[in-house]
Amino acid sequence: MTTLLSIETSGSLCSLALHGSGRWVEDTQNVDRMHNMLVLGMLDELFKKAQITPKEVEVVAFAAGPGSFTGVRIAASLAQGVAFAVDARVLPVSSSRALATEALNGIGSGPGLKGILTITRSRRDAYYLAGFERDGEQLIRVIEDALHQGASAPQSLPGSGWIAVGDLPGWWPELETTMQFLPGCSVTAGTVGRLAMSAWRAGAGLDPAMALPRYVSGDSPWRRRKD
Amino acid sequence: MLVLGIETSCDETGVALYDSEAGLLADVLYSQVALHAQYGGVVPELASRDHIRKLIPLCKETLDEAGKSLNDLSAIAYTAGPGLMGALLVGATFGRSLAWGLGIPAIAVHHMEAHLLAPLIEENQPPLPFIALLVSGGHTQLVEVNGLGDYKLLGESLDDAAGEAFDKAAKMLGLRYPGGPNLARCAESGDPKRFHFPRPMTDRPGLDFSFSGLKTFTLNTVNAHEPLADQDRADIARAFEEAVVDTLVIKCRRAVEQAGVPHLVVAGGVSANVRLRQRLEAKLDATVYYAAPRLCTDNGAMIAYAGCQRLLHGERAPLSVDTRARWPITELVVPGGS
Repeated sequence: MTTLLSIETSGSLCSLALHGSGRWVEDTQNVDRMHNMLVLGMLDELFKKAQITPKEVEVVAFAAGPGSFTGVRIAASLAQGVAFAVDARVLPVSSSRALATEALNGIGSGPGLKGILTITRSRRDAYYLAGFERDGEQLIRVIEDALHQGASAPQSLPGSGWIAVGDLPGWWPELETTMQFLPGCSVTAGTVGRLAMSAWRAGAGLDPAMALPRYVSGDSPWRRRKD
Repeated sequence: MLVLGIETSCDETGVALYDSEAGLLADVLYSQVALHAQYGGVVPELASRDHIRKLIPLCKETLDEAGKSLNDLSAIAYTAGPGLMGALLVGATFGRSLAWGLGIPAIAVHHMEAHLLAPLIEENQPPLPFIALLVSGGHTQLVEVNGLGDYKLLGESLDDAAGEAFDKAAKMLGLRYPGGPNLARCAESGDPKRFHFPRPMTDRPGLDFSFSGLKTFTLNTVNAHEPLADQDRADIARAFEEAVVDTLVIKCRRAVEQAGVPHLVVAGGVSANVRLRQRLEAKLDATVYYAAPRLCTDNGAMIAYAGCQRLLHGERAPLSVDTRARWPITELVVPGGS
């Protein structure tokens, strides 16, 4: 029985999940930018509730982005600290895949659903987009994570049978005329953890130092000095 | 007590091991200067990204160097502020989680307290009480130190810190980041008699500083002599450095006399400035103490040391990771005191 800790702090939710002795214990709270103040207290309580000690943890999963720079870094730093302490492995999980999976779990896999477009707010008017095609119970990534702003909204969208989930960009009102938009869907650590568990069973797992945030093109807009 | 110290408040990732009996066992530092030099100054987001890549490799290197393992540790000390919020969060979250995972205490350390205690790591330690000049890119303060956490602020900069003024003046002169050391290097060939810059707030009583006027004076001098030849640049750098150093020395002398305390500790990045050291030793009727040069700039050793002192006084950090970009040193309390 694998003991797996899962962490998601990249949005307004502070979400933790712990798998041990064949069951999942989860705690998800809306903490509004107080993740750093609350997450370790929540973690401590979760371990007590599950009657698991930190030393039993074999793998630490976390939502690695793309997403809020600070939020993802809190999860990554926490994953590094815990995994390094107890000599566990780490598993960074794609935040967009976790969001698409969350949506799929929420709406059920009706026969008409062909794919899921995930939209996550980055900063100011920029949003991360990714796309996943449904293949039975699997989600196949068909649109890579990319940062989009008003002027760079994707010109061609997937066809009918797709839904969009996440945050609706103000600059993209026509999206709702193209496909159904599902608001209020957020990534939870339970979903991140279950995705990580599958990967773990398939042999994945990294050194704790590799618990690093995932960035995409456009996430580093700083200009180098000209000499 | 064996304490692992973690420093990530700005652009240096520092990790060190301090033993309350054996002293400093290992001290490893990774500087991001080359990264930020490409941008002409510290980019806070990039600093945070670099810290998170370096923390575990540096921890391993530190433990290996000391021949210790994580299981030997008594506590983890981390910088909780003041500093860049994103950078602080990386080290503090990592350090606090590491302590939680190991089941040992964590200590949230005040960066400037660590700087002012850094000379105590050395063999030649100042006796208490002493006056401390904290002079860095973020702070210029004169503090009377009566014991751990017992600090009385005597004076501070009302605007720019001295180190910040150095960096900005360097930028005006077209010098590369990091500006402070480069300006000091440039000033070495400057003529000290060609320009005379003002010594701000030295003609009135009190121990506060102000460097923004000096910055404007520098800009006006640069503008009046453009395009700058190399000698112009060196002469202006020299005049600027002389003005900052004189101002700091005048205020230090005043602080030592007013407090009747003949021991001065100079800490923080600017304390590495050679001209400042020469002038303090020549002009002050007091014994002047510095940390070793490698402990003057940001480092993990001073965090491990300060954390160890607070640990020995019974201090423990709560589970919350509370970082503060601004954190007046006078808000610190004596550990175990009311």
